[in-house]
Amino acid sequence: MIKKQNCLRTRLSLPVVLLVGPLTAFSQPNLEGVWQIDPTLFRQYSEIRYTEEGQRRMDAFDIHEEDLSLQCVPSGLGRAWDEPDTTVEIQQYEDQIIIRYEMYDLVRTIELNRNGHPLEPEPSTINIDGIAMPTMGHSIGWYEDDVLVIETVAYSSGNITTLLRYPLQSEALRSIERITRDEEDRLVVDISYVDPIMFAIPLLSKNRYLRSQYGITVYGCTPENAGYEIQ
Amino acid sequence: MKFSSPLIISLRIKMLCAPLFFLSLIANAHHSTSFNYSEETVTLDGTITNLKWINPHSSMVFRVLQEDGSVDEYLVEFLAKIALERGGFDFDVLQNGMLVNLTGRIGFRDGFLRFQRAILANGRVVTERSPLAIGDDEVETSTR
Repeated sequence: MIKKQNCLRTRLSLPVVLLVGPLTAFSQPNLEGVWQIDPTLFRQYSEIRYTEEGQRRMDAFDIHEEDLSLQCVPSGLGRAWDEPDTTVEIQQYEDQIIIRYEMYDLVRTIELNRNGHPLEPEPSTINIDGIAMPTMGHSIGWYEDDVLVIETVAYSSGNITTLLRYPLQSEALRSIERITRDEEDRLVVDISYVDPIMFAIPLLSKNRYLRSQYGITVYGCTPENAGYEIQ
Repeated sequence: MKFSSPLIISLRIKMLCAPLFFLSLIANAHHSTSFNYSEETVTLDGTITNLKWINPHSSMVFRVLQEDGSVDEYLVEFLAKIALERGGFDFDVLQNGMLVNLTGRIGFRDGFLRFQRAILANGRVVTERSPLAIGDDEVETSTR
């Protein structure tokens, strides 16, 4: 069990943890640390099968006209997890998980053990300037034994990943991340993307991460600089 | 400045026939390499300008002098600065104004190249992962 507290409720919640019982508490995985893509297993995606509407949207999409990275915005959740050259930091608190993606200086806050998403969800991810990232949706999480499960909805339009010819995501997208640590101290992230507008079957992805020798640095992407300019 | 390597133009050179010598141009920065660049390459002699070591992708403008005296400009894309740093890249090895022999993957957009390697006037070979001596260029350049 991760004992770290993220609020002033530390002293109040400690007795509760003790009363509830250590078995429950200690069954939660320790996912904390700074991680970096394991080059031997990353960017694994299942076959994409678009719906008719999904294919129509893909046919009309032109990355050269609609590239969110020009605005220093992650195109979608998969983009954030797929990045091979930057780090990801996970912090576990009693009531929330914080995931920092070095790319684009993203901070994602996932509230734990909620009854559901709010009626009008706000993006769970912001950047270093506090700007919300709606392409990353609104997330809630919980533990299932040794797995951290994160459900995300309320995505804005974007691209799940910049691989696979940039599969689009609709506002109907719902993703489930299952994050665990394997027996060799590697972080394993499995994601299922269900988008009935875009996909006929769920899109699945897998990435594995090793502990990184690097910390989280300031990525420093600025929209003024993100593009190329020839005078 | 002379280079030992001859000018080698590979296949589909017609894709490069619309150089970027006019107005200003903004292009997408962080994208799939295979979706934006073909596997075919071109090798050109020219001058480095507008080097930008930034995230999410570094870049430079490569100016190539034509026989008629005009100058063609190509946008050459590198990995992100952070990826270059962590790969041990020496940022001082390429400088604005430097004449080099450059090889890049041909972009699907006219005038775009994906950096593969540069050969400096002293024969030194530069790739993204680390500057290499001639003869070591079988080491693959990352093409993410």
